[in-house]
Amino acid sequence: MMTGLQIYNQLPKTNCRKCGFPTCLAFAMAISQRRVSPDNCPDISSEAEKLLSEAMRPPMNKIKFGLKHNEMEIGGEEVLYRHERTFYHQPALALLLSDTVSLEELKDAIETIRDMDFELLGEIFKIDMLAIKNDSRNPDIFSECAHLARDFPLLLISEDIDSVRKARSVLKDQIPIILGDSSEEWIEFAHNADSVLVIRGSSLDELAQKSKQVQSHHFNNIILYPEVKNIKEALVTFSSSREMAIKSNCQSLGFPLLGRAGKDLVIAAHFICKYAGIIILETTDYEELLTLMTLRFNIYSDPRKPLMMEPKLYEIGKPGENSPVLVTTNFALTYHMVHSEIVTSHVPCFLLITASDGLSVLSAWAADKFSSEIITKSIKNSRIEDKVSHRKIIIPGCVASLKMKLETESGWEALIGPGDAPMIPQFLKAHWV
Amino acid sequence: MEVIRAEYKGKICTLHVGGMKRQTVSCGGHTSPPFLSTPYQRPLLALEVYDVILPDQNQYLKKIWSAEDFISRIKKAESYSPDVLCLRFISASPDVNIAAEGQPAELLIQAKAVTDLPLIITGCGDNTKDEEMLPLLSDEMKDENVLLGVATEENYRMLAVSCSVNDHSLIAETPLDLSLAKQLNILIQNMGLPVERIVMHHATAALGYGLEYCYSILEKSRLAALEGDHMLSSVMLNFVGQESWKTREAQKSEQLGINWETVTALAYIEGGADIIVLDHPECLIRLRALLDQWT
Ligand code: B12
Ligand code: SF4
Repeated sequence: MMTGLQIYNQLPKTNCRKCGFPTCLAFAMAISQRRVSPDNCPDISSEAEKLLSEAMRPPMNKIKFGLKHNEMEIGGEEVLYRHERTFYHQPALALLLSDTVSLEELKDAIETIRDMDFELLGEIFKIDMLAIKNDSRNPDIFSECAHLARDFPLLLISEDIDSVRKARSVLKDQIPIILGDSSEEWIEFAHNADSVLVIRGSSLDELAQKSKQVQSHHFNNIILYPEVKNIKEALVTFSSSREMAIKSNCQSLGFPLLGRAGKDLVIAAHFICKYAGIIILETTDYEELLTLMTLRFNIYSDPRKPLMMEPKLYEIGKPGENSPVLVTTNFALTYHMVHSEIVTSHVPCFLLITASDGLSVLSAWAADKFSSEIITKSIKNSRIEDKVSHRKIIIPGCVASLKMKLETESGWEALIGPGDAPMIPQFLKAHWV
Repeated sequence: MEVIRAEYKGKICTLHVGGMKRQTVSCGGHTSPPFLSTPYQRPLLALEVYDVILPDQNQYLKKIWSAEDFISRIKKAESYSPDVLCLRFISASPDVNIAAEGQPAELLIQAKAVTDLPLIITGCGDNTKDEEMLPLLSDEMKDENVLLGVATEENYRMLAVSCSVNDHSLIAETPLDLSLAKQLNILIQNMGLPVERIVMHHATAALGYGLEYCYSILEKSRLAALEGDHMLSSVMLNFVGQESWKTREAQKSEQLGINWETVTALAYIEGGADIIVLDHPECLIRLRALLDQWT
């Protein structure tokens, strides 16, 4: 990738402002941050444009697959560490099913997976995709299974091209991923059948070589699968591949990677942190999946903007004039934890959210963003005084020291709530109902 | 194909814990991001034992640890062969009103007699109380090279001096901010304890509870040191057990709690932590199995 200054050197340097920026340098900076594309400058020479577009091409290809009109994307990453910008496309978790089980069993398994809901910060997530393995080696059985699972984005695993061909033919409404072989025959098939092909190799060299070969057929829809022997090799291979793609602009390695975690939760977690685009898992254990979904949610959250709630008065249940009033900050995590405990308590409540820059209670308190002034202001602005007849507000236990000042400034009585959200139901029952 | 990887001019300090008649272990010494150089010094896994079991302690941890007295708990922890034992003297806290079986210093005398594992000794988290109590414990362990903690901006002076005269190392805690961490390291070094003997705690959050902030600060901290910032080259530690077992998930089922603690620990290991303090033996077993393959 080029720096702002290197880009600037390719521009006309007339500061004519036609690009909408005050100077060529400002425009160059914007290109380097990928906010604009070089062709926004009408006067740029065609060589320079070509050079810049090539250099600014994302170092890793984005791969689309899955259900038509609702495709999933993986890859397209630009950094090695999330704090350098962000990670864009979280790895898809593919649950492995074998085609040797009976169709009844398979149907049940698919139903169970379909019914799994994972709630993270108020949003419901589902299992992304299924991987079906052609253990039967029978094209008819394989395609029947694929047909049964067709509402999920699918990864078809088979070494037998006839099985894959047949299975592909029953998947009209999606772009499947195929994990089999990467010989010419398979490349051609994947190319013609609008599918993504997994390229396997036991070393980076082999992967890079095969990837080049595939791309020479003008086919770019690939995922790389380093077939590693153990976790140590996985770490080194995946990290090296990512680093080569991003730092050395190695185009043959600029594709998402596939990792097989088997039944091992810890290895799956490792792949989430370190660079897999697809992870094949051999588990349907809800608790394991919840753990992994949460890790993925954390690692792939955007460090440039914390998730925030709108600061205002929230009504939970149907609170009335005698209902409790609680206050907390607008950090989404904090809000959702308190919210879900209030829901659990079945006590209708008012929850007042302050404007605290999306910080947790203690971080906000330490930064003076959850002060008695700010809470008092929120009380006044929210018109809660028109909605309840009492004047009692429950504050988080970890900021008990706010009590005196808050009471003087707001005229409300401050009740010190528990320090941890899970204790809120008990607290409400003991002090309110 | 030639694999080109970033090269770093900095080096992470090597920390030794234990000595005299106590076993010795070490960690740190890296010249690359986590696990990328060979051989790689693996992170240390510590198991934590509390002097008293608090009433609001997680029910599953209680089941494992509470039936016995402090000394039996230490023996039990030792039976899982952690690399390090972490003794936590929480009873000193002004918020805790259950009495331990004795004063911290008395308990420590008994404790050190029953185990020869390297030790981490932590206080109750109250700055003032810890500033009083930890130097006594530090004196008690003179020359046995323990890792003492936790020092903050408020109370580092006494603790740094005490570690320096007794030849211990010190955990220094700052809230997820590299400039604060660096500043505290400098202040502690000025009291006579070099960065090699400081262990940074950049705060710990459990999976789903702000983990991403801690994960990234570890990565940033490690990269800064490798890029040559010597004042940030201390090894890093995370109190994974304490945070994980407080979560809603860990109240729901023991297995989920174990998953939570294990994966939280794994993330910090990936981020660059050199010492992980765990509360559930099952996590120790699972992580050790992983590290055995890894290093
Ligand atoms: C992640 C984090 C950050 C992130 C911020 C993330 C965010 N969006 O808030 C960053 C890196 C930005 C950060 C910054 C700072 N942080 Co900070 N941070 C943390 C950390 C690791 C986790 C916080 C978290 O996400 N908690 C989870 C949420 C859900 O917790 P919570 O909001 O408190 O809510 C819980 C309870 O309070 C309760 N609750 C919440 N609302 C309510 C309401 C009622 C009515 C009731 C009853 C209960 C209740 O329920 C929730 C669940 O149990 C903690 C340490 C830790 N392990 O907790 C330090 C911590 C909070 N940070 C701290 C500090 C000092 C800071 C800084 C001031 C440091 C600095 N000088 O830069 C800054 C301030 C912000 C700024 N200036 O930008 C200190 C606070 C110390 C203190 N007692 O004052 C802590 C405790 C670390 C430490 N041990 O020193 N921090
Ligand atoms: S349009 Fe081109 S020449 Fe004009 S200011 Fe922008 S970058 Fe410079």
